[in-house]
Amino acid sequence: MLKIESLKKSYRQGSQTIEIFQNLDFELQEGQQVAVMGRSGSGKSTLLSLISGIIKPDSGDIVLNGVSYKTLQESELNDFRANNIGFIFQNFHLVSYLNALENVMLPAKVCGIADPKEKATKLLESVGLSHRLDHLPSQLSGGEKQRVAIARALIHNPKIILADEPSGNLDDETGKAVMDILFELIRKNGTTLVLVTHARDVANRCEKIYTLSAGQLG
Amino acid sequence: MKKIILLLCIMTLQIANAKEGTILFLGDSLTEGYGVAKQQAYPALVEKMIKTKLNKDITVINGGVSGSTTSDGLDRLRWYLKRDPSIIFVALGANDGLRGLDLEKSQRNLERIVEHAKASGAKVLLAGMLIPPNYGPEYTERFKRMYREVQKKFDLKTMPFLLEGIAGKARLNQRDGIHPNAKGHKLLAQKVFAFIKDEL
Amino acid sequence: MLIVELVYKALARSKSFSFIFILNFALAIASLSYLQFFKGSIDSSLDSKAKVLLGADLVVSSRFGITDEQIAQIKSKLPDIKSYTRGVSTVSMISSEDRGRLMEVVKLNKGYPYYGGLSFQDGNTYPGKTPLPKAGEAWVYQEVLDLLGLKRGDSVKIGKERFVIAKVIAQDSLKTVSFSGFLPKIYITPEGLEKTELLQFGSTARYKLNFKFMRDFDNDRLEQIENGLEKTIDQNLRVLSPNDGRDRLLRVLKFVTNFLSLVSLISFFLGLVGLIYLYSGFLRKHQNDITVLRDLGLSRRNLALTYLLHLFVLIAIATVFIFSLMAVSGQFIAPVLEKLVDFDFDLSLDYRFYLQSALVLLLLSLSIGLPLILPLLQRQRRSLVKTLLGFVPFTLLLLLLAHFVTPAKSVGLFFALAMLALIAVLFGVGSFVLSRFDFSGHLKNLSLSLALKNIARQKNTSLTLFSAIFLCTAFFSLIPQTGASLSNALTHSVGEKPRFFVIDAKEEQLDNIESHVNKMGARLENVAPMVRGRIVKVNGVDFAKHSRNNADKQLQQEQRELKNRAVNLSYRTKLKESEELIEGRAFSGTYSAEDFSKPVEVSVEQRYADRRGIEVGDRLVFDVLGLQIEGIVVNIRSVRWTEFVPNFFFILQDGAINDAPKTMLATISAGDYDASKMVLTLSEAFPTLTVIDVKSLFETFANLVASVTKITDSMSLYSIFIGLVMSFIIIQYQMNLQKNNILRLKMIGVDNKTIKHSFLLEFGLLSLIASTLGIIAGSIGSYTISTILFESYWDFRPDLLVLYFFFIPVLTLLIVGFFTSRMMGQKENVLFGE
Repeated sequence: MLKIESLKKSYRQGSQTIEIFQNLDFELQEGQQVAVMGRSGSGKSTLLSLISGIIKPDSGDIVLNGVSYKTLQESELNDFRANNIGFIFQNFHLVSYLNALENVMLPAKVCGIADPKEKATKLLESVGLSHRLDHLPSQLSGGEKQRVAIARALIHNPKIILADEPSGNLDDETGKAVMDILFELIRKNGTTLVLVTHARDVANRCEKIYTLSAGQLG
Repeated sequence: MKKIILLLCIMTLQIANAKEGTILFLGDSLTEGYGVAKQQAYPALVEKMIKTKLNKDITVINGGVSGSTTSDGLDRLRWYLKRDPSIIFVALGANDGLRGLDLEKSQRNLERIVEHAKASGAKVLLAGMLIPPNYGPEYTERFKRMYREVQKKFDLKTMPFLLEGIAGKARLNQRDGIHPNAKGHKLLAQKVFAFIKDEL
Repeated sequence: MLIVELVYKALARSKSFSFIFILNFALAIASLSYLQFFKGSIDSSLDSKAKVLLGADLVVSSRFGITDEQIAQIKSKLPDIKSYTRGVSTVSMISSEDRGRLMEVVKLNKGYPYYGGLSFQDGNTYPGKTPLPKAGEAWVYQEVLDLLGLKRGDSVKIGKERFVIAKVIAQDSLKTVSFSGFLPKIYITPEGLEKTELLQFGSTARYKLNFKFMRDFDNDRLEQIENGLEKTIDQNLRVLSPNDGRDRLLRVLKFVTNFLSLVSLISFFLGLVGLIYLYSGFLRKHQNDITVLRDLGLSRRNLALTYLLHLFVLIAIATVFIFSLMAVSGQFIAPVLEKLVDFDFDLSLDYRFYLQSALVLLLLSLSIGLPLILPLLQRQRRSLVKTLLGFVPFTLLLLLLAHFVTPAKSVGLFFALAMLALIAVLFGVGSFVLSRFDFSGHLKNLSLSLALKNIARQKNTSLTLFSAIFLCTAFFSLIPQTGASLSNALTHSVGEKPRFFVIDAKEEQLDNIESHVNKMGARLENVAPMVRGRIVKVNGVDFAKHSRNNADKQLQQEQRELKNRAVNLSYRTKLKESEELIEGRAFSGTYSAEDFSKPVEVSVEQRYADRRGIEVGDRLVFDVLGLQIEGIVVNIRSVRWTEFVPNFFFILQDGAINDAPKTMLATISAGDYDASKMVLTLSEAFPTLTVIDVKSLFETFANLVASVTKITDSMSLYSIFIGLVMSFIIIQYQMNLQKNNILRLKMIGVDNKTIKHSFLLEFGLLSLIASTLGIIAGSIGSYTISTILFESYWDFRPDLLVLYFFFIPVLTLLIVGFFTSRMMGQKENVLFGE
């Protein structure tokens, strides 16, 4: 479902070139949930950026759902991402001037999905926020924000969800509750998940745990 | 409109005629009493003197207008003749001189005023003026001659110089050095009264 | 030490911020400081101009010879005298072969005038290199030659002596100081005057004592000396100081400096708003640093000190920069400016000014810095009310500053208060409207939907931007319109000013005079009948008594004027364009009562009415050449101060006194004709006519107006420039706040075009509405200021308004477009791994 083929990526920092991935190969089955762990600077964020197609590899290719990123123009890639990938961030990143419902509806509208409001309402209900529909992000607690973010990541039925430290900004208890919701919904929908985290107990919820080190997933 | 004013004039005339006569002072700012109250100007003082000293009930019209020259004197004379004055005291010409006007014309105006006044049947008295020496010898001389010639032509009773003994004296004049102050007007009234009383 | 190090690093590491900040602040204070200099220099150059017009520090004048005892008495009451002269001037009939004219003969004294002087057609000046003329020589105005048909080198007889015309005077600083009216002058020596024998007993002349003091007193001090002296000396002596002649100029100048003060205040305010934005943007960027420093154990006090010091250093750099620029430009710019606007500038430096400014700036950095910095040091968020309260000292400081910067009492204060009130209203009404409007529906158009939500949900941000653009456009439309109205009124009045006043014309002469005037290429204008009269009674009370009871304080002190009953009356059917009904109603038509049973309707000039305590509805009794006429005041009218045409305190209804003996007044328009020929022709044809040349009366006025107009125009441009810089800063700041939202939208997959459109729509809508309202408010403001404050015509400038109307929104869109594009160029993956 997701296939990374002999991926190469390096950064220039001043006169130095930092090689992040020299020759990365990786494959993920549909509906699989994997956790990626690794030390800071090991390239976890870069990996997410590459999978979401925001940055391009120096060489190699990423194939998601049978579509090779190499073959897509930038605008096509953007469309593809909007339709096929959902995102969850450590800092939630809800659009500050849209309320919970509107934030959740937004991807659906972008993808042109019918009845976005109905769907969004249902999803928010399923994350336990039916009473918070018209609240702005600034009026929500951290856990609530992340639940909105989860709903937003799922509304357009993406093939894959990329989650970047989803519980990183939450206390243990809330983090656990939010993760329960996330995994429950993903399993129900059979969505593929790539979860980047430092927390072993969060990683343990996934089917498989990879550790990123020296440009290789192992 | 004209009729109304005429009507009013006639009404006042009737009252005026009940008295023993009317004196018209036809003049300029000196007569009007520029810078002093109207009661302090010499015509009013003369009126008072006639009433108290001669015990005569006469009316005085102060026909003085500041800045008046001989050329607008005739117009005003016509206006006042409606009140049928018995004596007309002509004290005009100072402004003609101070403004440096052509004195030939001023003399002609003065003559016409006197002619007109005489034609009304009133007794005409002429007050002469002098112009300050700084206006130059020729001009001041010509100015003096103007009154002499008018006097001769109509054989008028004349005061040779209205401001005799007053002009040039700081304590009798206002700050401008031209117009008499209240004291000056008192002195002036005495002189005019002495000049006029025999005509009453 | 740590604080200094941190400040140094903060400055060094954010160079572009420091640069923009310093530039912005420098712009803000430059206008204000230059205005102070400008005001000071206008005052001092007016002072010296007024001295030139008088020729001395103090003049004692009299129509009678001044005695030696009087002189000794005067001298004993004056400060140390450097030099003094005894001047005499008199009027005389000067004749050539065929015509005679009245001229003013003036005695020349060595060294006098102490200020100003004569310049001759040959280019020389006096006093200066030119020695006094010989005993038999005279210096004359060109008009003397024209009137007498003479040329230089001819001789002319003055009194008993002949004089050779040695020099022709081109300009005379004492031209307006005249014995009587505007007679052409002839200057001769004391010996020459002696020989003319013009001055003897009975002569009229003006005797003058001209004083120049050892110390250099300013004109207000001289006025005090004048008032002190006048009280104690002979009634016949008049004392003059330079301030006596500058009323009208002062009035004009008061308006102009008020206007300029407002403009510079506006620039300053705009600059400060920009400053607050810049700095809070800076602090926002450094919020993490602050948290880190706090976590590292830096005390709150030290942190606050660090940022305050940082702010102060920035402000100080800008200030030092501007002040050194001024110090330098004092040397270089002043001469250039002088050439440009024909005005003597005194851009000298006063240490007190710097001390004051330093204090103000220190207070400013404290009052701006503390409310911005302190909230950041606290962990929990501050409420809006608390934040606003934090700015109270800053607001008070602004009000104080506004108060002291404008010369007229309270103009600046009221202006600043009005500004604050306006902002408060904008925020109050705005947040009410936005909360009502809270748009939760779903439009098909995603951009529009996003834009509207952004406006409604981020209330404070929207309202701040709205207010900023509103105020900017309001000022943009207010300043040029007010400036144009002011300069238009001034230049208009200069352009329309008559060249001659004609008095003592007779009604039947008018047609004839007019045809003469027309033939010369000019127009006879403002013809008005004048009837002499006296006021006898007001409301049944003797006029003098009424005045004693009702006149204002100033008039109460002038006993003689209080008793003055003589008035000039005129009659007309309606008001002139330059007149305005202040109170009451217009005339009901032509007077028609058959028998004077009905009182005549009277219109009274405002200032006269105020002075004499006359009100609408008062019953007046006039004595018109022996005839008593009753009148009723139906209105009080004001006459525009920029008008220079004959005006009457009392105007009666047409038809009531038309038959009374009268003279006519008129003016002759200025134009390209030969002025001396005009006087010659008219006085030849109508010898009783008095024609007064009023050109010199207006010349100084017109010059001043021209220079002032240039200055107001450039000040207006300057403030607009600052406004633009500020708009740029604010929009940038607002866009920075939206940076994360843009990336979030991008990450979700909203395409760039939609995002860009949503921001363009958002800012475009805000700025369109704000600038529309701003232009309306600015126009209303300029109308109010023009009519009430400057008492001048309001110059409506639709061209400018349309320009700004499009200019501001378009500019906003350009800036927004630029910033969105730049932000969208950023990759959204920065959201990962924060």
